[in-house]
Amino acid sequence: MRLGVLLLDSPYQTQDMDSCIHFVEAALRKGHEVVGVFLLMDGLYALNSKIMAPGDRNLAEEMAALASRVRVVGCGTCARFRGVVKADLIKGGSLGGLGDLVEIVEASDRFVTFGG
Amino acid sequence: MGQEGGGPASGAPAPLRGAGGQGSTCLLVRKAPYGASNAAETFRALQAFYAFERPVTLLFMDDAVLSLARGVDPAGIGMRPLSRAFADLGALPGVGFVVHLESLEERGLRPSDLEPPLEGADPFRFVRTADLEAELASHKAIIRV
Repeated sequence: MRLGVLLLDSPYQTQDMDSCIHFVEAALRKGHEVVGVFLLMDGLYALNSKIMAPGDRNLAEEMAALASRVRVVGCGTCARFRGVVKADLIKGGSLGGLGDLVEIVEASDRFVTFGG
Repeated sequence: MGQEGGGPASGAPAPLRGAGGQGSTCLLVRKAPYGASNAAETFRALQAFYAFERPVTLLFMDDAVLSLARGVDPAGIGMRPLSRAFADLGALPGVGFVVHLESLEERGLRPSDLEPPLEGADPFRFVRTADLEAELASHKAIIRV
């Protein structure tokens, strides 16, 4: 099955980013295809490579690991509104537009939203 | 976790048609228009689906029905009114609006309290809770923003 994923909430504030990452990892382990993870609104912060989490899980590193296997795209407009620039991005992550979200939805058999 | 969309396996994109039906995407918005950016982001997402000629339906539930209330002017808090903007987009081909009637009634509103669609545009559709399942099942994907 081809899955599309949308993340709306920021890391650490809620469990949504953790759940999003774990969901995608589990789907890949089960042999599903994840056509893309789109990061909208505060979900965009998942691309921030400057995240430091002393003594705790580093969600930016986890997302970077995911981005090496799955297309991870953040909303470029959301990034501008939040002061996130390309130099801040995790390896494998990119900025795009809502057209990327449309493409992911179109290419998916199931679409799952985390947060909001 | 949000609402999963369901539908047949997607292959080549289907041609644009009227909103609703197995080829369409439903944008489900439930939050109030100005207390959070969800409604505004839904507005942007709708524009993207239209730009890509993909049929899209906005479903307003809970406090999100206030996004369509007529005469709201948030200029005092430095924001632009969404109700007129949403109503205007309803005139675009392939764009549909659905309002959860009980959400409207719970907030003391009637359909006549909503911003009227542009002349010639499809009017809002109103669904009751009993019909929500069928409404949601009629779309290829549901995006809860």
